[in-house]
Amino acid sequence: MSQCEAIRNEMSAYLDGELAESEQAEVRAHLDCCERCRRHLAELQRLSHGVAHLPRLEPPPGFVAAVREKLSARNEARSWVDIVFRPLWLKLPLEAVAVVTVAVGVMFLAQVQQKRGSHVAGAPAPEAMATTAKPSDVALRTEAATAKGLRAENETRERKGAQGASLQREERLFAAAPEAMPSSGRAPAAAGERGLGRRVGALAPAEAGTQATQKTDSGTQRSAVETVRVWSSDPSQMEQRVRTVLETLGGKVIETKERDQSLRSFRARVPATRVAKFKAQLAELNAESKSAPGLSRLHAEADGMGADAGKFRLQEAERAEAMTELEIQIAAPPAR
Amino acid sequence: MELEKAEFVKVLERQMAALPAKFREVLVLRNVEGLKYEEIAVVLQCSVGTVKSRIARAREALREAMKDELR
Repeated sequence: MSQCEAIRNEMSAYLDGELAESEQAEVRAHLDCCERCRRHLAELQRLSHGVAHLPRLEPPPGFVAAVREKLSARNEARSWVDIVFRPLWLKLPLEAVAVVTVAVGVMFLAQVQQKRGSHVAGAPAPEAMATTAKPSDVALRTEAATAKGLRAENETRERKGAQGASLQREERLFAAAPEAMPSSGRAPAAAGERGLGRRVGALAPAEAGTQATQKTDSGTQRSAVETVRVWSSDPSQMEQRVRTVLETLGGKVIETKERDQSLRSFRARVPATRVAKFKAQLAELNAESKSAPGLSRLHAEADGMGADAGKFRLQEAERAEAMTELEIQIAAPPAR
Repeated sequence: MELEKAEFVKVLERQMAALPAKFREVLVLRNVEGLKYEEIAVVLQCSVGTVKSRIARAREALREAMKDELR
């Protein structure tokens, strides 16, 4: 591109006074020494002057006003696109940053919410376990005891024949899961087997130990008190037995709740280390109340414990916090 | 001289009318309305650079068309 060409590209703007100071000087310097470019400029000037004074190009009335108005209105009423996006170089990065910030914020909040949600959902879990575990805990017993019970059941079945055995079985089921007992008195065999399985699985000294820790960790969590139910046709007599067992094991009654003919319930504290044993004893009581009402076995157990009882009480005094709270319900089975 | 000038204006008028609309538009805004490049850019919603080059090309086109009259 020759110098003249380069100058002529700028000449129009030079004519209109739209060039920067340095560019203007450059063009002027060239014009000083270039006759042809001077002539070119003169032609452009003549044309511009001619255009400016063309009679027929007088703008229609209102045209100038409209243009001026458009110019001033531009600063006020800008379209939303202008407002949101222009100038692009400034607003687009800002908007990108805003979008990223909001996205990160939402993700963070969602995470926090999720965490809190799982806390809320997780907290009542032990409690829920305690409540739902009721049917299976009712007849808590050691595995040996269960096996014994089953053996006894088998013997009874052999003795009494199918009819009697089925009745006996239902009674046991009833002891295990009275809620599951239909009023007609016929429990499905499958449900019974499940009940037994749960019973065997549910007892474990280890579990009692966990509950004890949980209790000491959160003394205020009263709602998590486990309920142990014993069935007896004579609740008041059964209550006496249960209290005997409780005291033998170094526990004590802390609150009597119901003193009804058919339902007695009270809260008791049992040394955490003895909870499993206590439940096993209650299970024995449960079983005995269903079959022969003999108490000899219980007495024997209680006597055996007697020697240790003093030691338990001492331990209890030493670490009062290691007590597990249980709610004991003694209920008469509904008349069939 | 007067006749010559009248003839020149007549041809210029004709050549202006023959120009593409976008060239005529910028020349009117600049030379008749006396707007600055920046203002023309706002009115036409384009960049100042576009206005500058379009005015230059419009004038060159007009000059080319008026070659004989300009001599």
